[in-house]
Amino acid sequence: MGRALALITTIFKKDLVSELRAKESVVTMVTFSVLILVLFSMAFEPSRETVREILPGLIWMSLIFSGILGLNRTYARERFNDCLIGILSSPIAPYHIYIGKAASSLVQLFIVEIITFPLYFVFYDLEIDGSLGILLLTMLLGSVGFILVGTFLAALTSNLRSNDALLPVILFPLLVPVLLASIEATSAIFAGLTLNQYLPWLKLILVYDLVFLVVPLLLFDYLMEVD
Amino acid sequence: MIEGINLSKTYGNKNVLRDISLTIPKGEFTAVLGPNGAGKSTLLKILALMSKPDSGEVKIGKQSFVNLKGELKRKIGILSHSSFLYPELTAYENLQFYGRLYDVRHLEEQIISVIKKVGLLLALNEPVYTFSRGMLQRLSIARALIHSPEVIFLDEPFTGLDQQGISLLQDVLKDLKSSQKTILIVTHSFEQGMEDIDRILIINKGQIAADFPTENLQAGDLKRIYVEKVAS
Repeated sequence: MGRALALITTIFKKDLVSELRAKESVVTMVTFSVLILVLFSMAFEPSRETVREILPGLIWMSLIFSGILGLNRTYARERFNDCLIGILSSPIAPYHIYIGKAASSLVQLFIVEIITFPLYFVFYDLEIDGSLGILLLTMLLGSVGFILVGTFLAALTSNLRSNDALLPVILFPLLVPVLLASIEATSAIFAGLTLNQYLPWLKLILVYDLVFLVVPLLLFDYLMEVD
Repeated sequence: MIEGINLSKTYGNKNVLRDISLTIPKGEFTAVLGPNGAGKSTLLKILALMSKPDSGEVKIGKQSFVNLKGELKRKIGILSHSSFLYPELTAYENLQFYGRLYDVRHLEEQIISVIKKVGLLLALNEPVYTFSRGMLQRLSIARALIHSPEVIFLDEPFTGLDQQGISLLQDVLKDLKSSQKTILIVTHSFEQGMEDIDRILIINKGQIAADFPTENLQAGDLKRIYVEKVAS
């Protein structure tokens, strides 16, 4: 267990250090996310009621779109110089790579969320009637689900031509449950509903997270075989 | 010792390897020659446990890779024409990364030892994207040796190297041979790195077309045998 954790941490740190040096993904993701929220506020000038209705969807969609930009880079870096072959020729289990990369992508998405989320309060005069703590928990669980399935599918498409375009096409259908549940839970928190009213959505996100933690662990060996 | 038993591999409709069996004794330096598409690199990938054969088995020592893949990989070092290095990281960070994957003990000392061997001590903290092709290949050699492997696989390692890089790689190969490492090199070059080779395998159309020691080989013999076997 200790050795597995050490290997996962090694992959995680390497990915994060590489990204912080290159500043390719995070800068693009933040810029894209900020652009969406600015353009949207300029285009529609929504009333406070409309904001409540549309903002949860806007927040999640902009996160998912900007997150996909980052996911596309996750394996592109490994293909350069055939680094993935270098990793796979070492005594590492493919699931160590998967978890390490997912953790690194999650941290990058959190950076985007930390920078862009306060801007929604500025641009849309947003007020939250529910618990900020539960909202953050929802953001965390939803982001984990998105990154888990996204990291897995990014590995699947990384060897293919036009993988940048292909990833969203196969990712979005699989994201429907977690995206829908995250938007519904976020809407309920914005509206100040009681926890019991949106608890089923949170449970759905949690189950989704668990499924997409376990399924890739079972399949990642096959994905990573070097041919 | 490396042993490949009845190895076969198919990609689509193409039989890349057809029932190949070979044994490479400990400490032997073997070259695998063959035309493009003969199955050389596929054989290397299978022997280096990077790819599974459709049928057959690989053993290193007496251990089969079926249940001990992770443990066996510790014994293997791979040097390819790709560097496997991350450009944003420094030479030190790249070696540290691979050292940690192999769980190398006394990693700091080992990094200094291999980096000195390839003459890159002064560039240890430089990011890899600033390295020339020759420096990259030297660092790749250090990466391949960071965990002191017993068996070293080299896939077209001379590709893109300048004369200085070729000399350095030849020195490293001599050094490895003298320390009784088992070496398998895949190449289509007859000139580079051939001086210390004990045995030559010629692969053609997924099968071993010739397998002979180099000790009594005269100048020109290799080219003649190669042309004969590949043409047939």
